[in-house]
Amino acid sequence: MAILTEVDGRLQLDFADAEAAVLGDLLDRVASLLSETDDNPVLARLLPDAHRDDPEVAVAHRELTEASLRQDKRADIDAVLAALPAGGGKAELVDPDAWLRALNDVRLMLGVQLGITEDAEPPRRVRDQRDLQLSVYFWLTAVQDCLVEAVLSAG
Amino acid sequence: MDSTLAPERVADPDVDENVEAVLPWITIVWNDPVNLMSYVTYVFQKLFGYDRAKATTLMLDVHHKGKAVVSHGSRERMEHDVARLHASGLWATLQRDR
Repeated sequence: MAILTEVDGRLQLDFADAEAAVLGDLLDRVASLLSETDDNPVLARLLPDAHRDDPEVAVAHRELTEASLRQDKRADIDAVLAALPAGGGKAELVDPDAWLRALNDVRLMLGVQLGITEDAEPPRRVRDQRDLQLSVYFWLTAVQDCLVEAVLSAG
Repeated sequence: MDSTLAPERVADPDVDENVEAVLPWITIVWNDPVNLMSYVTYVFQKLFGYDRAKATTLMLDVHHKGKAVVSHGSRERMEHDVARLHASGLWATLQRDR
């Protein structure tokens, strides 16, 4: 994976074959969760209550914004999926913010599923499925961090 | 004696409504273990137009104190800010400023 900045400031991500496949799969998983209506911990994090202890405010906010929030997150994911080169290669970041949001939603999903805390660390060795998912989480963390810097530098 | 000289009691609901009208609302961003410091700073700059220094200060408050007030104004305005922060994946809530 490499982040490329063109002379005119446009950004590209260069994906290895497996990287594009892994990210595509994770984006599909977030999209699938966003289409669900049952309570689950990942949706509770992606679409959080807007008030900590006043259900009336939280419910009112949800009625006002939740449908469009789901649509917007889905649109970010679709934009990334459409640009993601199957089999690897370069993806043009037409809207880098959409990439940042979609990558972040993937990390939020993995963060809930893996029980990520402040002191979580990448696994030293990959021994099981959880280690593998943790490695992917920290890979996406590095990608997102570099992408923020690239967007700031390009802008 | 003319009883109309006695002070009239103002109904409590009117007082409450007035207080509600002048009390502003605030938007709070809470710390979470997933959102990156660089990303949170970027989102504050992007959504609120804060400069790098102010956005960084707010991000550090979120990180070290657990939360920061990132905007204040009418309830409608705060509903809008919270929705935009949720779209960016930040954990935000609104509440009355008191």
